[in-house]
Amino acid sequence: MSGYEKRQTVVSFENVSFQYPGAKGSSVKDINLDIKSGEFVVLTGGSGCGKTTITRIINGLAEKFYEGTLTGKTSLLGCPISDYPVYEIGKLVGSIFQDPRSQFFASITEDEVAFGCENYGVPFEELETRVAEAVRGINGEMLLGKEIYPMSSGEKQKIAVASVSAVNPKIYVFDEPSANLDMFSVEALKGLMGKLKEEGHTVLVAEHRLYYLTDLADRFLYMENGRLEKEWSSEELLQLPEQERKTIGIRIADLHKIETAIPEKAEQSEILSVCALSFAYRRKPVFENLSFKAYSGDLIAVIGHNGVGKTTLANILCGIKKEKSGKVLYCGREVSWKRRRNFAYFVTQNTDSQLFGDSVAEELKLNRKNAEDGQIEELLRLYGLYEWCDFHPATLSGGQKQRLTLAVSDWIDTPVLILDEPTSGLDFQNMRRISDHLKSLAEKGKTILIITHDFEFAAMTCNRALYFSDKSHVEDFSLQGNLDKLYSCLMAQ
Amino acid sequence: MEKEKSVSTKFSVKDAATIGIFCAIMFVVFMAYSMLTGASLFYSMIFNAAGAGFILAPFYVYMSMKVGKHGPALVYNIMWAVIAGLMMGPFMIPWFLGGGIIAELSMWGKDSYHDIKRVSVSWVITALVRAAHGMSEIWFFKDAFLATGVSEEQVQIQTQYYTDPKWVLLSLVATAVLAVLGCMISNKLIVKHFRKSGAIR
Amino acid sequence: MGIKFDFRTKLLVIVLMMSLVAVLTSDILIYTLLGLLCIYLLIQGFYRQTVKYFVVCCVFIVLRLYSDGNGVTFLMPEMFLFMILRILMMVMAAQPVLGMPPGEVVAVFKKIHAPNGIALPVTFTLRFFPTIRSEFSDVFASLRLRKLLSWRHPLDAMEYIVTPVIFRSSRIAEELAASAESRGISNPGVHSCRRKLLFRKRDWIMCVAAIAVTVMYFVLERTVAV
Repeated sequence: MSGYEKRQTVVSFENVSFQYPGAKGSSVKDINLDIKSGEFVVLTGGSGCGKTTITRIINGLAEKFYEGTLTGKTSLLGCPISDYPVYEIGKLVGSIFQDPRSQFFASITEDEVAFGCENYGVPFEELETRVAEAVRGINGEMLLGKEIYPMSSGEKQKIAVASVSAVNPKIYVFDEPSANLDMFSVEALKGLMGKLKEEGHTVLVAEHRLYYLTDLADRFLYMENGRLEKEWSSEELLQLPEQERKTIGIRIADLHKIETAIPEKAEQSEILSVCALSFAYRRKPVFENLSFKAYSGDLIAVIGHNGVGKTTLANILCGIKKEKSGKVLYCGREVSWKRRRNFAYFVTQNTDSQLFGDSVAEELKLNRKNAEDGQIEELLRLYGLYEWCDFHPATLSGGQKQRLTLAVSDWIDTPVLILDEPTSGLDFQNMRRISDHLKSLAEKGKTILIITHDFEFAAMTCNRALYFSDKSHVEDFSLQGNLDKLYSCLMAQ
Repeated sequence: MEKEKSVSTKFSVKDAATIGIFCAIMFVVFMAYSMLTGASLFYSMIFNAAGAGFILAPFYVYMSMKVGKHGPALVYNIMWAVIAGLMMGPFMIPWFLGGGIIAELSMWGKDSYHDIKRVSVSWVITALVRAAHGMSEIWFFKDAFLATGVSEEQVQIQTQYYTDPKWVLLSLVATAVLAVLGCMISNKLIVKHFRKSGAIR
Repeated sequence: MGIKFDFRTKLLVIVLMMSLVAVLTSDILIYTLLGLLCIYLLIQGFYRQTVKYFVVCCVFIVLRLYSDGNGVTFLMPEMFLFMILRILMMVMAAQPVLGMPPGEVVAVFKKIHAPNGIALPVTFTLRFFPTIRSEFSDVFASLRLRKLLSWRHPLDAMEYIVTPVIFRSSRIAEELAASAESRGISNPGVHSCRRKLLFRKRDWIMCVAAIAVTVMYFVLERTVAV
């Protein structure tokens, strides 16, 4: 770190606090921060600790877009941040946001990469070379000329990086960039970030997942309740004793240290059996001839790269979609697709589309009109949501919404529960909470299928893995002693 | 830099995004609804706009209140003008444009976009403009239709639904009533969900 | 992929079609014109759409022949059949404009210096179109799983469908706007565009052909009518 001290300061905060309009307290308090040119800084901490707010203060959105109030002194390349209009900051600070689905405009790659440059009036003659260079920078030649909308999150995230880098800002700000990515894409993202650092850019990343950043980061800053509490170098973070890491509540920094907590299983009664299942979308086969069995108490990690049909399988199992051919048996009996929702419930990734009530308690009452207050309280406490009982679900954070949808699934109580990426954007505490709860459900005999890209979560939760290697092959293996295999499956493209 | 400070009365990118996205939703919902009910041409002619005034109301009311400043009513109608112009003929453009201007004028004054009654008025105007455009269509085609050699009598019988004042009145009244009803329900949703959650201040 | 025309050419075709539609009365002329429109769409590469339009045209032409001037039940009076064929002609002429890639629409807006109050919302509208279906189907799927949809309570059903869609769309609007702002969309200076709009030789040929066809049909209409 010593090498950076002599360099120019690019971003500095002095006693900075920030409050969103309508919020009860400040999101960040008394922040003092000094980022040097070429430094790579990671901000981490639990959900709602204020790390996203810091990124928004730097890219100017906090004041100009979210219209909050900032106190204290900020500076970006020597001038107070408030003095710049947002479009001026955009030339200096490139921002990549959490959800790759909601940050692109154009329908094809080149248009999107050129977007920023066009706004800044880069002359026509120069545009093509800028776009070509930025696309080369992300190794995205095969994305040229393609529509963005159907692409995977990883590809969209790459394009977002290219679009920002075409403008060539000095500083890059990432807000939870890995939240929606599979492990392979995270590796690609790591490569891109490394390149930016090599080129001398300053990089700031707000993130829960830390394992992929230890090779790159100069400093890790830990935040709690809006304050900067701790600071580590990569070495210090890697040497942090596991117990201390867990008490602080940050996610694992070294994937080698992962311990399995594979649940014990007593009984072996068959709950779900899938026989020769096939599905096609617009005449293109998604998967073919798929067979597997699941037993009561099973916690199965469903893995495989994007587009291989994991979510489609879940949709078929709970009766949202109809298979092309094959059978689905619950408890030994074949069940037609329309009646499958009595046996399986699916918690999708899109939490917004699963919440309908006007308060957290009401959300639960929708499915059990005569529920007693005591029951509701018990369930909400289990998920750490009781304090928010009267809040509108839309005001909850992403992680809280996720827990509420899980609470609803407990209420509906089908023998099979399917979850799609339950840990995207979850901090360590909540990840552990969900993991523990799922294990306790499995102990009571529920069969749980978890579609996930999260090695840490899968290792601490599941007992089996179902790996979609391609259209017609599914590999089924126990996780006991097989963590290496799980890792290589998750990393495979 | 001085200009940046006065953002709250100016149209921001956020407002443009809200209007753009909600217009897209309303267009798609309208198309889906029209296709579902299009099987009966009688319904399409007389009650299409009335039903649309009802089911699109929540999106319109939310869009207006979320933006909270002048513009949504006009921009929404301009978008319709362009789409209708492309699909039905350029004579539709001034029709919707005029409707949009009237709807926006009805919102004259400060903070009118936070007032459900005022928003409802602009929605009723918008819905009526849509209800009446079908009739202007008939007038446009009528000359060509007559020229094909059908008898005047035949035309009278066949166009009775939308040239007979009784039917026209029924269509317009139904539209106004359902648009108001739609706004009343939307207001309930606004209070129950969107104000409570802070999405609308 | 078919020939690409400049948007001005496409607009001219629409305007010419409007004027023809208002005047033509002869069935033969209308049917042949529909055929020409099919060719116009085919050379631009709208293969699937052309097939669809062609089928719809055939259905309505058959219906007209069958109805023989009396209409098909009270649901489809003759006037409607007559109108639908005409609206179809305009929709077909407008198809190349409706089917323009969003990037090109934005380029056109920049070229004609459209006011931001309109150009910006349209950019977002075009961006959002392809995702709307999945937003609604997600909501329907989870309502079905939770067994909350029932025809006996249509107002509740409306609430359950509309609220999540609004919340989500509103959030997407905000995130998209934030992303656009941070990439300089409100930069007051000159914006450039990577798509150059050119009026080429093929546009001249198409325009001349379109005008020639229009004039010919006007003349034919006169002679047939007399």
